[in-house]
Amino acid sequence: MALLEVSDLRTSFFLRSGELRVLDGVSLEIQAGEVLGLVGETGSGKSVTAYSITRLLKQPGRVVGGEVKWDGRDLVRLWESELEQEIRGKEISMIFQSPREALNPVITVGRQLTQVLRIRRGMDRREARAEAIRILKSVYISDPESRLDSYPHELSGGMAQRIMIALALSCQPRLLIADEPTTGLDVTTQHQIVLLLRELRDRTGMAILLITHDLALAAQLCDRVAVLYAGRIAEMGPIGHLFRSPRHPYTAALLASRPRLGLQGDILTIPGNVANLMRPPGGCRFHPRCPNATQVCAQQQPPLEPMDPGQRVACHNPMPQRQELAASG
Amino acid sequence: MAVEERNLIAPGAGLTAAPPVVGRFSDFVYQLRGNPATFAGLFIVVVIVLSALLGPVLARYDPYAVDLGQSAVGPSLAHPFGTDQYGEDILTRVVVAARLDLFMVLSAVGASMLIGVALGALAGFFGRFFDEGIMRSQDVLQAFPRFVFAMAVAWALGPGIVTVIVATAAINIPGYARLMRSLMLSVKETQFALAAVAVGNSRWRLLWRHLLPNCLTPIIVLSTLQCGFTILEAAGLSFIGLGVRVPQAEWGVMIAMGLQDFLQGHWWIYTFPGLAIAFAVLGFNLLGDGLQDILDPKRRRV
Repeated sequence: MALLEVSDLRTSFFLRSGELRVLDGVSLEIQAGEVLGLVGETGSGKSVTAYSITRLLKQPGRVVGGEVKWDGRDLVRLWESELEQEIRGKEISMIFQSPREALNPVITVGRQLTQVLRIRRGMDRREARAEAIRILKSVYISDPESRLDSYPHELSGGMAQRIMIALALSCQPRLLIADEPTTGLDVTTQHQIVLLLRELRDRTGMAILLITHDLALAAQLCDRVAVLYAGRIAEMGPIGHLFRSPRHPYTAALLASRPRLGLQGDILTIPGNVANLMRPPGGCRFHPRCPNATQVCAQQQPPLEPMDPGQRVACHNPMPQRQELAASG
Repeated sequence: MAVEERNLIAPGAGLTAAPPVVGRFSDFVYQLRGNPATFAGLFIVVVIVLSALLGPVLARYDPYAVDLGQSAVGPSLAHPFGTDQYGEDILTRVVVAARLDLFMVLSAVGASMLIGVALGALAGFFGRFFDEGIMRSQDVLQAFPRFVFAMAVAWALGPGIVTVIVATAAINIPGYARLMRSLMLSVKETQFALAAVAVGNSRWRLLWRHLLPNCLTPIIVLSTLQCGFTILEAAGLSFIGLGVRVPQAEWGVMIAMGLQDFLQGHWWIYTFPGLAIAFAVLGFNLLGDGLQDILDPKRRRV
């Protein structure tokens, strides 16, 4: 059974000008210990998916339909107090982009860590401090004893993200949602954070939902990837398979638009703009920009159907399977 | 363990050692040195606090020793500030009065801060009808001119020390509530507020342990400035007879006593307590302005 099972999740933002359907039936599942990447353009609903799962959406956003199953419980229908006491931090934790802004500027790192340990794991002051030091060591903070007394503005971006990770892992969650965890960090630091996340996954066996627009990052870290377009899953599958043989035209276009070494000529771009969520195109939301679009695409929403082993695609006219892949099985 | 040691180099590379720790106190002194006006303010406030603590010990006379033979004597070596109509030494009374005035001011500012900050925090954090209900009630309080409202409260309660505290506290509450609400509105939208909840803090903890400390700097500055105004208002209430009553050594009362002898030209009776008030207000205002600079990380000296 999957650790987390999201089915037909619908989230809307209720604005004065109307209902903005940011998520329109997103379904995905995460197995224990798995790293699932959620990729897509800005505005495709990646972060909203994360916030809908943990119920951290801000006004005027609201989950209007669907289920988020965790241990047989539907997080969408749980009381706020149950989420606070039993889910957030303990079962599902989050890290964010711009880590320095995700730490409280007026409280020392040590206090932020020990606070959570004391209320959530019932430790006394000394136990909490010892545990905080242990956790900081596990995310490779050098000299953790003195770091405990630092304020977030005294930290570098990479160190702040390590501490944010330490904070998120302090209650040993089974799922870590990482919302663009490397945005705003330099490339070397990005790499270190990726290595750290991978190692933590191997060591603790927690699952990670990695939200990113960086396909290279997804390739480094993920077991499977789900591609989100305009609030719907376009394609989902094992990372190698999806990168080598994308079946959805959007995934293919996304991969083709990556800058690559030794690339001749211009980078391919996807024509048109991201769908207007206030008045989304009928049928498949990608059809106005799709090279494979036919009549049926404008009329019927394609269901997310299994295509290759482990791969699911929502497309009426998928790309052909690449030959070398078919040959190798 | 082997895994950890191997990775200790790669992911942790480039982390520098912690910077040398600068003591909070020595940093405070350093900030003060670059800011003479604040230093002057702090000095005045310290003098007032010391006279409040030690006044009765230091004073050469009993502040309530009536000596009609020495009635309304001008400044001299024996009585540097002169004596009032009852022959009481004015220097002694000015110094001793610091205790009562400071007590009233700190109680009033403290009480209004606690109530105002709590109201503002709830209004800003929970919004909706909390916000509407609390802030409209503050609007009602603010609809009257400050001092007129204080007079009305004092008149309703009858004269006394508690009256002064309640009346001056009541007029200060809306200022705190408004400031706190606006601070809370901006700070609750920050990334760290979201992150704190995401890693497992309850909303209630978020409000008091994470968001409130982020709002304290402006509150401290406002409180210091408010102390200055409150001294004026407390003395004002006593001056018009709605606060502390005549035999008490209190700056406002002493000015009122001096005014009875205004036409006789006994200027020292009202001038010295008046100067005491002026200095106290000046001190708190200078300190408040300076604290604004010192406590704001963007404006401090490096």
